[in-house]
Amino acid sequence: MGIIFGNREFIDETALPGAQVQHFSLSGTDYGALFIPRPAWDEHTAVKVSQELGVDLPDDAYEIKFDTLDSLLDENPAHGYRTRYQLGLAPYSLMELNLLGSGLLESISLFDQDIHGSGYYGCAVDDNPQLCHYYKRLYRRYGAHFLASGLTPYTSDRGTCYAFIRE
Amino acid sequence: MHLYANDDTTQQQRKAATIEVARKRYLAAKRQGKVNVSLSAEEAQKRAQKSVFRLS
Repeated sequence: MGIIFGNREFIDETALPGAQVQHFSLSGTDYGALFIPRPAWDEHTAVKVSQELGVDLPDDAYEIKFDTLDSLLDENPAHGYRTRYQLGLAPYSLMELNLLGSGLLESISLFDQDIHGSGYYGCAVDDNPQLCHYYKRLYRRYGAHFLASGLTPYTSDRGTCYAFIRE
Repeated sequence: MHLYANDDTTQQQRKAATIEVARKRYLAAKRQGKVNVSLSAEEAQKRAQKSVFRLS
């Protein structure tokens, strides 16, 4: 069992210039970590993250969205966060949940190795409490790795918003 | 008040429309084998094997 990485690809140079998706799979489920340049998107998440964390996000930072590929890219996209149960999938074991987190963080790391972005930010979809708890665990576990890469990690008490800023 | 509410709705609608357009064009390009790859699966897997994130 493990993470299998796929390509990283540009999404659409017209609608979302510079946006890329890193593919990976775990236990037969395909995931995508989507990196969208801040200028290519609206300011909704950036403003929320700035206000909640009390930090200024660089103008050229990247917003990160993470979900199953079905939810991210399907022609009939799901709206909002859906659990594996709601997607008709078997629940993950604790080991699989840890692997999923490592897949997301490695996706960010792979992207940053090439792009050296000024910062990355994101929010848990719909402020979902389960997601906030999960992301906060990842933050506690892996924050030091980002710091070692020159990216200062930030989160809020509730664990809703995240930012990694190159200082 | 209404102005703010309407602005918010418009922004959300714009956002949904933009991602929908991008999604459709991406899927069409992928079907035609025209997606621009910035990191190959082989290279990503090779780099991830040295990962500190314990991938397997």
